[in-house]
Amino acid sequence: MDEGAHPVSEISLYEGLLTTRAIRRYTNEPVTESALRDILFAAPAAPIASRSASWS
Amino acid sequence: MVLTDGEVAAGAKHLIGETARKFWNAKREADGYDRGSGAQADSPKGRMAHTMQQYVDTFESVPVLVLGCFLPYRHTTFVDGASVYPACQNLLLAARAMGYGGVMTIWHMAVEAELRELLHMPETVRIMATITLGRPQGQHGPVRRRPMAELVYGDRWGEAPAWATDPDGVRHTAAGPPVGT
Repeated sequence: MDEGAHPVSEISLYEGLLTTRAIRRYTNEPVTESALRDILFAAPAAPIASRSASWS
Repeated sequence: MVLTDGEVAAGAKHLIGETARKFWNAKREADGYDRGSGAQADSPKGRMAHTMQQYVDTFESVPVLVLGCFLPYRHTTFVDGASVYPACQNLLLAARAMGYGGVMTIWHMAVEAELRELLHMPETVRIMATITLGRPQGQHGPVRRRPMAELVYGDRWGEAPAWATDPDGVRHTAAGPPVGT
């Protein structure tokens, strides 16, 4: 991961859960590719339905 | 699928933008966003209407469009969402942790066939979520929700346990139209 490319907020996980709003207004700033990579890396770390798991 | 710049991304954003505008215009009318408290620009309803209008009107300029997809390998059921939506929420929280923000919708549903063709997506893939991401113009902050005692029950439906109380300073919202409208 690119340290410092998009400093990760130091708020706690719990505070983040309580304060994350739906964001519908964006600045013109692009989302950097390294941030996209880290965001998309986090997505499938979530639980999935067990019937969907492809056990090997 | 992650769509940012270029012709294909622009095409996908336009397809979903068109359906978003249709959806919001219909909802704005049906749910009376220009009536009652919605007529006041500084009310929660009025602010929501303003934000939604701006969101759909400028949908083509969202920095990132993510389509959360699912590739079923058995027959599909409603449980399939359990394999996708937690990942979508993780994605939104990860974005938030990096100073970005976003929102999840199902606006792809009206243009799924067109998206499939544009993105060369096999028929076997199901699109489950439309998520936009970018740097927020505004700020995150405490969200308003219904009081906990209205939502959390103990041994009997409708009866909240004694511990189901909100922390001090929580701002509430109510189900249905605001009182006095």
